[in-house]
Amino acid sequence: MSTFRNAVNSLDDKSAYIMVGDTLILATNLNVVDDMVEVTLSTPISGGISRIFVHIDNLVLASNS
Amino acid sequence: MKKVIVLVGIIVLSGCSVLSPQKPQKISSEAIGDMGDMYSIPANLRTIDIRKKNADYIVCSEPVPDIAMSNALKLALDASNTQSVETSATTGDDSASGSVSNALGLKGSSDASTTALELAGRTQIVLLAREFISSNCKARANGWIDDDEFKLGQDEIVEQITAMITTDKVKAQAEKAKAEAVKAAVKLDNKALANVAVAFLQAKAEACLTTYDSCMVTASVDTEKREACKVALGKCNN
Repeated sequence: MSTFRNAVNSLDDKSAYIMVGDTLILATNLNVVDDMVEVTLSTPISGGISRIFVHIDNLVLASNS
Repeated sequence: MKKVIVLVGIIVLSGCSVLSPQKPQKISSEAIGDMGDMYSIPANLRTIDIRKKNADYIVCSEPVPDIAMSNALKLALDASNTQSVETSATTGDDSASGSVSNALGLKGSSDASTTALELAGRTQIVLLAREFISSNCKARANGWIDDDEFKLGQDEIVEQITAMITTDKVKAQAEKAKAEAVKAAVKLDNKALANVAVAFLQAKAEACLTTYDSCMVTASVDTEKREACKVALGKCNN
């Protein structure tokens, strides 16, 4: 059982803010495959990067409530 | 021979004064009769007023014009099989054109036009300052004010213009600060934030419930332990 994994799984096809370093980035989709999270960005960064892959242990999500 | 004829045509046309349509000033003594004379000048010309004051001169020049006049002369030559002989010229207030062709089939045409170009870089304060200073000078030249009043006028004009510039500066700085604040304020997508909140709260609730279920199974019939499981569930969900 993984509470974090369950939470991230429930965000499938929904937008969410993830923290990359000190920067908040808006993601349109989080796809959990084993320990890998495929993050689709709403706006490309650094001149064209639209998808990043994050280890589930390193993923940080943000909320205001 | 062909070249000579065309060259003559060019020279004739270029000699026309209408190809340089910078108009001189016009003086009309009839407009206001015995009251005086009326003068008019094109907008691109400046006047310099010079009046004798005892042994010296008072010189007031008009501010630099707000427009410039651009003259363009276009000369086109082409050869054709035309056999007619024709010479014509038309003139207008601001343009002139002419053409010449000959039996040998050479044709030339010229167009001259003048365009008024607005000069950039004149802010409202610049225009106002110019007019104030010029008017003050002319008032002195016309004898309406004396030297002391003229100097006082100049000082007041500079003071007023400085105050206007300072106000403009303050306004510009305020606008800049506002723009920077707007830029700095990051507007977040509330829906995205809410999605994470809902997802993690739901996951937390499920995890708390799973832990509670396990606790209750372990507690079995022990009332105290079952009660402790309920308290733990309450704390977990907070």
